[in-house]
Amino acid sequence: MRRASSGFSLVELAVVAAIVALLLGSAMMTLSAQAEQRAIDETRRRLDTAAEALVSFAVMHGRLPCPAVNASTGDEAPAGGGACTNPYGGFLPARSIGMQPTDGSFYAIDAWGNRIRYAVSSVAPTGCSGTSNAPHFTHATNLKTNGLSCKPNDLDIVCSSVAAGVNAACNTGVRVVSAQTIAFVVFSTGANGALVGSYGVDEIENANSDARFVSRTRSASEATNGTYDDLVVAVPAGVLYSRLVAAGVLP
Amino acid sequence: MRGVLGRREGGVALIALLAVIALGATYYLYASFNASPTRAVLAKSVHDAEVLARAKAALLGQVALNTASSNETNPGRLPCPEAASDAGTANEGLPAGATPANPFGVCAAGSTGRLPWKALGLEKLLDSSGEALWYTAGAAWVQPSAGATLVINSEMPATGGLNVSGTDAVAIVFAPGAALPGQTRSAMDGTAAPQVANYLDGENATPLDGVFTAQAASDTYNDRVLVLAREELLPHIEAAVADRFERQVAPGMRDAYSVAPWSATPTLPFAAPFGNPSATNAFRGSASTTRGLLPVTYATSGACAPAPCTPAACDPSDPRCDPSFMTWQPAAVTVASTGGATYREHTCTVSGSPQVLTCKIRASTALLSFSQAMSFDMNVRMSNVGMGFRRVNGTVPVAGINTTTVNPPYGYRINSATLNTDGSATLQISSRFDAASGAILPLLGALTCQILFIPLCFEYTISLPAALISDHAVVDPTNASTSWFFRNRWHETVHYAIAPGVAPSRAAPRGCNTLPAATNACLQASYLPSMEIDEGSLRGLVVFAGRPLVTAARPAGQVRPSADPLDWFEDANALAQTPYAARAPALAAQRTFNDRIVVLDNN
Repeated sequence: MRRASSGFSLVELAVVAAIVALLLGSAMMTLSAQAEQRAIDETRRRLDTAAEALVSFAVMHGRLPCPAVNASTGDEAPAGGGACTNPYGGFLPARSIGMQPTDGSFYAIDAWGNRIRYAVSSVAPTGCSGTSNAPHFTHATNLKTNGLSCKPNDLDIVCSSVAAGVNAACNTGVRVVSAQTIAFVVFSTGANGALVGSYGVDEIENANSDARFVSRTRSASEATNGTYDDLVVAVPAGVLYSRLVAAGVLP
Repeated sequence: MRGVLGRREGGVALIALLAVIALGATYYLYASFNASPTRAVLAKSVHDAEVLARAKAALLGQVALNTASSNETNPGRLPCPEAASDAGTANEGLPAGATPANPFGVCAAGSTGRLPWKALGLEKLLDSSGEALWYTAGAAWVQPSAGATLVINSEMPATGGLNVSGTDAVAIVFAPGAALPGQTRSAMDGTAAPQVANYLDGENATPLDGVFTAQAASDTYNDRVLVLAREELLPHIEAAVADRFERQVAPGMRDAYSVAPWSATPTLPFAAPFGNPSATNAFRGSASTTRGLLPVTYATSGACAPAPCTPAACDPSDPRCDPSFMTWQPAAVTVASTGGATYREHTCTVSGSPQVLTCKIRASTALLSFSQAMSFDMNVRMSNVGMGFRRVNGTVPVAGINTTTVNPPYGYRINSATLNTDGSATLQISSRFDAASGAILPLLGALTCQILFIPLCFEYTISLPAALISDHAVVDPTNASTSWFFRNRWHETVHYAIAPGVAPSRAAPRGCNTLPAATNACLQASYLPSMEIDEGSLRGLVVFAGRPLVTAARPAGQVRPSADPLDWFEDANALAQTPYAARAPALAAQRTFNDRIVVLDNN
C-alpha cells in the first residue's frame, strides 16, 4: 500500500535551498563591499587625523616632522628634524606626533593594518622673498627665516605615473594639483598594501621613494595602469602657513 | 510520528520558518549597513560642509602665500574662478587666465566659475552630489586685466563687494548639489562650457549683480554656500604683508644711513609726527620725533641711465612727493684747495626746485704761474635729509668741473656723508676745476683776493643738483621690490618708532643699550616671536595696525581715518608706551588686539 506523500520533494527543497543561498550570497557580497567601504572610510579618517596631527606638530615645534624609517620605531628620522633620512619614502612618525592606532613597533596603521606613509617637501623652496635655506619645512629656524612666501618645490601629485592622457580624467596636465603647492603627503597603500607583487604601476610609483605621487580613483588589475587602491591626502603649503600664522609661529 | 491530532508532521513549517528567519536576517543585515534616509541626508550635509571648509582653508592659505610672494604686485588679491571654457581642458582647475608668472589669473568683475582647485593645492573636491565646487570673489579683490593694479590693505577695499543674504563677503564657495528641474549639467569634457545657471540656484545663478543667497534647501534651491568674510581674510593678508615687509622693505630702511658712505653706526631717520595718515599726509620726518609715522617722503622717481644723469622729479599728485623738502644750506659750504691754484673765497646761492646750489669759488696763483687748474675739497650741507630715507648719489652731473680727472665720467667723488644732529647731511666732495674754466677776474674783482696785483685771481662756478642726495631705493615708486608697499598704501596703516639713541639727533657714534640699561635704552616689545626672550634690544620697529577693532579704548569700534593712535593701534602701542606689545594674549583672546610688529633693527 502506497503511503500518501507529505512535505517537499527533493526538487522543491533544492529550489528553496538555491533561493536561500542566492539571497544569503547577495547579502554576503553586500556585506563584503560594505566592510571594504568601511575600511576605506576609516583609513581616510585616519589620514585626515594624521594630516591634522602633523599640522599641530608644526604649530608646536615650528616645523613639520621628518618621516619615520624602518629602524626609527615610529619616531621621526633623524630625531629633531632637519634634513630627513628618507623624505619621500618613510612612514608617518606616529610616536612623534602622538597618533593612534599603531602596530607593535609604534608605526601608525591604516584599517588594513598597513603602515601609513608620509612624505614631506625637503628641497630648497622657491619663490621666497629674500634668501632661503633648505630644508624649509622640517627645519624650524629655516622655516621661520625663509618665511611664508616660500613654495615647496618637489612634491608632485599626478593622476598617472605613465604619461599624459592615459587616464581621461587626467586631461593633458597630468597634475592633480598645481606644482609648487604641496607641503606634505600622507597616504595609505590600501588593502593590497602588504601583498607584494599585486601592485599596479601607479602604486609602485607611490612606494618608490621619489617626490611624485599618484592620486586617482580606485581600479582593478584589468584597468589601465592596473590595480590602484591607494588613498592619498596632500596638504598644501598655504594651509600649513595659515595655521602657523594663526598660531603666531609665522611670520 | 504522529501528532496530537493524529496527523503526520512533514517539517514544512520548520523549513518555512527557517526561510523567513533567513530572509529577515538578510534584510536586517542589509538595513543595518545602509543608513536611513535621514542619516543619508545628514551624511551628505556633513560631507558638503567638510569639502567647503577644506576649500575655504586652502583659499585662505594660498592667498596668504601668494601675498607674501615677492613677484605679486597686488598682494592680497584672490584667485580668479576657473574659466568656463577651461572645464575639461588642460587648464581645468586653474584660475582663468593663469600663467606661471600670474598664478591667480585675470577675470572680469562678477566672474563666477568652478573653484580653481589645482592652484589652491587641492585635488578636485566634489560635493555630495558629485559636483565640483563653484566659487566667486568680489570685483575689487581680483585682477581684472593683465597689469591692472588693485589697492588692498587693512582699510581698502572697505567691503568684500558680495552680498550674501545681506552679509558682506569677499568670496563665496558653493556646493551646487544635484541638478534641479530645468538645469542641464555639462559633460565637462571641453565640448560645452558649463553655465552658472545650470549649477547654482535662485539668486546665485545671476552673479553679475553681486547678490547671492544662502538659504535652506527647497525644491528650487539646493546650493550649499560658505562665505569668506573680509574680517576672516584680512588677518592672513596682514600676516603675509608683515612677512614680506620684513624681507623686502625693512632691510633697505635699516641700511639707509648705517652703511658707507654714511658713518657705519646704526642710524634711523626721524619719524613723521602722527597725524591722519590716510588723507594728504606728506610723511615728512620731523626733527627730534622718534615715534609716529614712517618718514617716507620722496623727491624723485626711478633711477636713470646711462649715468651721469639726474633722476626725474616725482609725481606731484602724490602727497608724499616733495622735491623741495630738502634744501641746500649755502652758508654752510666750505672749500679747500688740494692742488694747483690757491683757494681764496666763495659765494653760494640756491635756485630752482629741486634746488641747485651754485657756488662761485675764487682762487689765485702766483704771478708767473699760469696754472689756473685747482683740485679742491668741498663740504656742502643739505637740510631735512634725516627726515626721510635718502641715499648719496654720486652719479648725477655736476656742472663746472673737470670730468676726466677725478672719478670719470662724473668728475667728482663723494668722500664721506655725515648725518648731522639737526637732520641735515654734510657731503665732502673732491673734484677739480679745469684751467680753462677759471675766468681771470677784472682788477676790481682781483682786489677781493686781498693780495693786490701779486697773484692772479680766478673765479670758478660749480653747480650742484639736489639729487646728490637722492631718495633711497626703498621709497622709490618704481622699485620692483618695495613699490607694492606704498602703492597699496600699507604705509598709511603703520606706526614707526626708533630708539632715541639711533636718531640723527644723537651725536655719533649712535646706538642704544640693551635693557636693563640705565641710559640710552633701546625699545622693547613684549612677546616678540622672533626672539625667544624679549631683551629690549630694538633700535627701530614698525607696528602694523590691522583692521579696525572694538577695543577697550574704543568700545564703539575704531573709526578711521583718524589722527588718534587709539583708532589704529591697541594696548601699549596706541599709547606710545614701552614695551610695545607684539602680542597681547588676553586681548587677542577677546579679539581686541591685532597689531603686528616688524623689527627694523636690533642690537
